[in-house]
Amino acid sequence: MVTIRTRSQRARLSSERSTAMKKMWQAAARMGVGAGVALVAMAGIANARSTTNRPASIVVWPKIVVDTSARWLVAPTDTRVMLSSTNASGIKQAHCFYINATGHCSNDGAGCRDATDCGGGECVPSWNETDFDVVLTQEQPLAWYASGGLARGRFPLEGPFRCNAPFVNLQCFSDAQCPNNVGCNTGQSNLGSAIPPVPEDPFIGALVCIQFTGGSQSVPDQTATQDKLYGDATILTGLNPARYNAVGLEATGNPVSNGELVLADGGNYASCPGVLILSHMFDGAVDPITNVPVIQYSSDLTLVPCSNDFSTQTPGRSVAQFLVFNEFEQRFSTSRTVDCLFHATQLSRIDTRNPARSIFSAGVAGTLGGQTRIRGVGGVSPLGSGLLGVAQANLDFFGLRIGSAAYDLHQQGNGRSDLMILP
Amino acid sequence: MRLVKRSPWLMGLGVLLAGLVTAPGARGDVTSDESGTLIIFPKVVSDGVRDTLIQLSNRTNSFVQVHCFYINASGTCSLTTDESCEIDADCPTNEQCIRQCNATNFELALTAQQPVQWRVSTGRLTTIPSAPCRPGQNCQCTVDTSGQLVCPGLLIGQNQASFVPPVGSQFVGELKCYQMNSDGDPFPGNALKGTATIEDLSSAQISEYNALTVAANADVGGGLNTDKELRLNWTGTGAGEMNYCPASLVFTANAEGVTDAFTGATISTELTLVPCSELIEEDLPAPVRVRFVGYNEFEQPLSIEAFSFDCFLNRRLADLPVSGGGIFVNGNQDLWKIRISPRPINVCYSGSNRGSSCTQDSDCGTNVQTGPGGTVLGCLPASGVLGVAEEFYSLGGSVGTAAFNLRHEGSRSGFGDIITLP
Repeated sequence: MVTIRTRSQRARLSSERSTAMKKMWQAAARMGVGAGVALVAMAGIANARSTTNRPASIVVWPKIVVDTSARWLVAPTDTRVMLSSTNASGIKQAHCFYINATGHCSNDGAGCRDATDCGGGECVPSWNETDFDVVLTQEQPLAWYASGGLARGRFPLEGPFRCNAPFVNLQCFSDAQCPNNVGCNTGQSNLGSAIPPVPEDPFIGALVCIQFTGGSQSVPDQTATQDKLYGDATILTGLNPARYNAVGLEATGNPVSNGELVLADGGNYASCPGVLILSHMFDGAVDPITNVPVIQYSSDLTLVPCSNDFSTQTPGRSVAQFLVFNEFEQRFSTSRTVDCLFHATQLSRIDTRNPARSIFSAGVAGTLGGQTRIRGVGGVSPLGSGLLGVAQANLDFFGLRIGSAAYDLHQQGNGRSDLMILP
Repeated sequence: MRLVKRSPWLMGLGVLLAGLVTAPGARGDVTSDESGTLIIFPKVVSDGVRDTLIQLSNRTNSFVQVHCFYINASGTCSLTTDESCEIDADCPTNEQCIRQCNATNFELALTAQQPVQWRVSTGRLTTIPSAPCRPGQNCQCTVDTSGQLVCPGLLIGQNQASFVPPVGSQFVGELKCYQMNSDGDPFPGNALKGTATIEDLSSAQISEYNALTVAANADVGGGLNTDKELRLNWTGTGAGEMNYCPASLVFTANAEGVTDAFTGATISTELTLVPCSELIEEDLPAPVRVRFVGYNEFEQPLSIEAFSFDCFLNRRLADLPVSGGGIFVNGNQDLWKIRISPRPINVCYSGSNRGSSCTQDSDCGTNVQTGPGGTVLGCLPASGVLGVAEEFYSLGGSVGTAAFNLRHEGSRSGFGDIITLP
């Protein structure tokens, strides 16, 4: 069944201007800071946390983009989503939520990612979710375009099937279509699945799928065959494909109660990371491969909260603290609010509206490459403050995008408890 | 290459902190989203058509030293030596594909949280420091008279010497690095992480993937030791040196030759596999024996039961050698979930019968070698594998690319894998 829920969220513009910190490298001071950070980091490293390497029971695609009319991007864009089961025997049900984080311009109501899409207006954020079910047969891979979804009748294994003996020559879709109550041998099939298209175009948002047991008493799967799903996404902008691994959260085996999925040590699922680490070239860095001055790097970053209350339509919210290191080991810092979804079309727009003055600008950072540590703090009780994300490196030629590549963020330590509340 | 070392107290404190931070997750897995002591870039290309940008970072607050080796995996046929090859099937009948698989070693150092990057073909020279970029100016590297890059930044080593050596423009292979201490021995600091960006030199189309990392056990006595053999035999608890390699790799690929409905492009996937075991000291390619099993969206399975290669595999799925052409191709449906598992057999790692199946060391014939730590490199379990994949979208002469990391299932057990160090 497909249900759509919508609720506008209050406007939330939060461009906390960075406090750039720029010091020369001083060993004693650095090691003192290092000791503190190391001890903090040590405390967080213990049990399982999110993974982009292993199948899991919760799969999160932080970035789904659809822009088939090229309103935002230089070429028509769609996202091809892949969801696969590694279960060797039996079906697995995925209950999924598209999270629509597309804002709308204050001046003309058009979809927007940030104010740069609004031609002078403000981008007013909004949030809504669309949930749906996918039934995967054993070892089955499945793919669809976010713009189109996958309607009933277009799934690979939906029949027609055959009635049981002695009426095996009769085709059927359900038991009622077979005579004498012999039943319809549907075997494993995708029946019960329907994937809607994303609710608007252009669209930016996330997708979350949770492995359920399936059947009439379907519940979040904490059985021996938990952790059988993994996902991928390929963002297709013209002939620039950018593919990343969806993030997985493994089940712990602790049954879920009251539809509340606790993401923490001792909870129902693995923790979200305490710190995300982004390796990147600074915006404006000249590509070291071609070394042509007009071919320059820029990166975009998408962050989503681990927590979401799908029951009351309350998106997760936290503050992302960025700690940026250049090659000289100099540190810079800034922070931004992540409300439902945070998408920086350029890293150098995170801390300022003038990218040339950003701490993510190569001219300010002083070196070509950087490493940024991102920590989610705050959060709205009872939800947590954990973050997940994905990055995309871009090569621009006189501002025209000629190459792009998505990649997963690194992580360190376990975050505090996060919570997903199901409807 | 000798390294310029910083003050002893600073180094000592760094090592202490690294030890404190060394506490990998409870699971013993190879990952691409965590830091580790051993880092593997399975696909490094510098062939004149494409080049690779390596980004390597220290995620700790300690100074770390790193030993790396490029493994050049270009191969030629045993008799028709002017013909390049990847596997025996690429060569004329009765010939074998001989891979070089020779290693080029180098060392580098990273300060706390330091990110560094270099272009593989040219390498990069040490700078202590080079002038930083300034606002309003282009931030770019220059090319030294030696052909190596000089980039704004701080690289520790002997000034004007190679921080990373160049590999030239006829290289395809892998890069492995491990963290070491000031004596040059492996050190379980679990500080390394990285990414690789492969770029087409004419179109600037890029693919990026995360390097694979293997965490080490810092337990004194039962953990990583200094015998110059890295053993991948740790479950995350108890004794063992480094995390086991996965029991199998799994990924979902578009069928070879299928047309992408949105772009109209034809899609092809190139798979790169490298062995978890590596005999650097003996300069011998590690024999790999794997099985491929694929499932399409109709749940139909197809398999390649016995696939062999040495040292390195970089191949389109359509070119996997099976009778009747590729099996993971368009026409056998649009989508394939492919699982790659090391075969549960033993293989001779050295000796006159190197590469043959075996049940005991004596099956490996003469000249069976022994690793630096005393491990007999005779009849051992076929190596585990790691890898990365890259998609190519082709349309009207233009090609778009996208790399991605493979998924891992389970862990190997028992002997695991071995890397012998020079």
